[in-house]
Amino acid sequence: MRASSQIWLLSVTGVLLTAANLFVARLPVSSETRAGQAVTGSPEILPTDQKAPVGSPSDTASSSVAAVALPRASASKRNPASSTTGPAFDWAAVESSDYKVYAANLRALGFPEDLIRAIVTFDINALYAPREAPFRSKPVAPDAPRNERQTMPTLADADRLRQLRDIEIEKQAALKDILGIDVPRPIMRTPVSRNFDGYEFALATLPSEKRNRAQAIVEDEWLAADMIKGLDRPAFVEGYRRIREERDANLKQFLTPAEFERFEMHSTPAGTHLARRTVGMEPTEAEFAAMFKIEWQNWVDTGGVYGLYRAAPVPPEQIAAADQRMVAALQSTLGSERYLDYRMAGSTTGQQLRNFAARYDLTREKLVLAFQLQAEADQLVKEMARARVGTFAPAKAPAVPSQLQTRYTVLQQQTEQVLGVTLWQAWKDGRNLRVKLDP
Amino acid sequence: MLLAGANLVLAGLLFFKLSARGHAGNAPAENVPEAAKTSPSKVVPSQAPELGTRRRASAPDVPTSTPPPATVFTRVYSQDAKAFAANLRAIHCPEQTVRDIVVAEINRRFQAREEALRSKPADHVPFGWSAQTSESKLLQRRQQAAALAREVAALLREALGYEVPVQQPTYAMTSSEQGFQAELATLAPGVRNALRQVQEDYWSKVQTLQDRTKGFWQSSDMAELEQLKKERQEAINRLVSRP
Repeated sequence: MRASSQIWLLSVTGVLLTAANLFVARLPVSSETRAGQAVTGSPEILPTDQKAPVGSPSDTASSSVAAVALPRASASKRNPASSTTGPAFDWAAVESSDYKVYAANLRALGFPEDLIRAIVTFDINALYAPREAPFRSKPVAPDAPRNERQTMPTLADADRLRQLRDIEIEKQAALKDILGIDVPRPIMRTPVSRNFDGYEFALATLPSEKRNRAQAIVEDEWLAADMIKGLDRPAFVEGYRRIREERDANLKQFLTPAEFERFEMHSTPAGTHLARRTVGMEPTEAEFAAMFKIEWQNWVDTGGVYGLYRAAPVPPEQIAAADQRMVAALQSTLGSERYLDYRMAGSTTGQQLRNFAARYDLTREKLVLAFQLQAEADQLVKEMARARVGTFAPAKAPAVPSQLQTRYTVLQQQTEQVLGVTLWQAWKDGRNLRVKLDP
Repeated sequence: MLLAGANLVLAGLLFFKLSARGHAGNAPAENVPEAAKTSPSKVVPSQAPELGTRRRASAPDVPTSTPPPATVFTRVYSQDAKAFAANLRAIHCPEQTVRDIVVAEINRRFQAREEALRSKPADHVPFGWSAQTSESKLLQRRQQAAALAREVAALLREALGYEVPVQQPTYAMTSSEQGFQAELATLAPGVRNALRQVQEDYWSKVQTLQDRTKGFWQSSDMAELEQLKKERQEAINRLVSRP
């Protein structure tokens, strides 16, 4: 190439490079790093002073309380430290006093929807916490003294619980308005001890559109029943019966028979006691439903009035007959194997033997044999105790019949044969020990 | 030659300017809110791409599926909750909001486990009944629920640098634990953390015992449990009696 051409080419290249340098130097900062601006391709973040339309009473609200335009008051207290230098993105653009705007801004930043729901729910719970706190009672541990687990309800308690419920319903409506979701309201915790967890579980079995109404009816029943607790027993039982009949009638207006039965099964004491007694059995849904029908019949036959155990007087012979019918029905429904599992799950001896079997890898055959022998031995111990201790004159009680004692000894020997000497010793060592894990 | 040299200089200058613009977004946050002083002031490297990282200039030889567009969330999010909190602070997220987001994120992660341990009708101890039971499945649920609450609380403490109360299901509560937590709240943070560790060690050893006995305890196991209780109390006494 001729020298003049080279010079010409280099000069042109130099001019172009100079122009390129000048152009790059004058370019603005890129859109990815501009503070407060939406990420490329995402909806624009709403300015903090722009209000979304005020929430209006919605026909989809979960209650009759109008959805409120909920100001995110804490946003004003969350002013981040101002900075003249620092990263290009600044959170200040995300914060808003309006929850819908805040949620929209989080969405624009790419926050997953379930996380947005959790963030907003947490924020709203924190917002309502100061209003709820004066009306809330402190959670009580199941091993607390009886006088902490249950107290006599008063009119002030009822008033407090209603006020708390109103606030929680308002919060629920706000969450529905902002997030479009139904968030279950915690069930009312009355001074009278109830299986609140069971009721929440039972409510969760209902279709979501029916839950709030069912919950309100149940809670109103509790408030009404608690107000007559001071009456004498017969008057209370009669009053309680009427209140429960009204409650059931109200529920049946919108629950299907299957929904009502399932709700009762998981909430009424007859059902929840059965659930607790059969945990170790691990019943299927069908088994549990069948057992509940039988147990409920027994509950009623032996004097149960809805949630009150043996509240109506029933002669002992009728109770005994009802118990026999229940046993026969359970045996027939469950079959011999599962009925044995039912018995083991419901007795301390059975529970201990299952733990023992797990520890020492006992076969089911040995477990079943040991349980049958031990259960009979336990029954004999009770009979021998009754024989020794008379009701009025223990000192003059007759000696324990030798037949009982002989039979008991035989049973013990047979159990030893089933388990073997070493395991028999281990069983005797631990079967009556009750461990307390709390320090 | 002179012209060639000048062109080389100009080309080098252009290259340098383009590179400098690419690293602009990695500048550390200089003004971190007061409440977050314990956290690093600059964006903590996380599993997510760092803020401001640009896509590579050279395209890969083999065509790959287009990655999703980067968002602010993907840039600050980290599986490491502590890093996630630090990244949020680095973009001037107020501390209360950092807490809300981190708590919500951790709750989200634990949702399945919490759901499995949600209260069931059988968990309730009827009034007048003893809370003690031989039913190992009920005991196991109580302990798992209590352990889960402690795990979540520890994770939040680690991520945020301060205590966030975590509610456990009522059925898993014990009067003993409630009393212990109430006492902890009155103590200085250093002693509190040490005591919490003592308690955690105790429950960890109790769980080992539970796993070994499978719920059937014998005299030797009870003696071992009493020894654990004694050691725990001695450790507590040493900690609280320190000047």
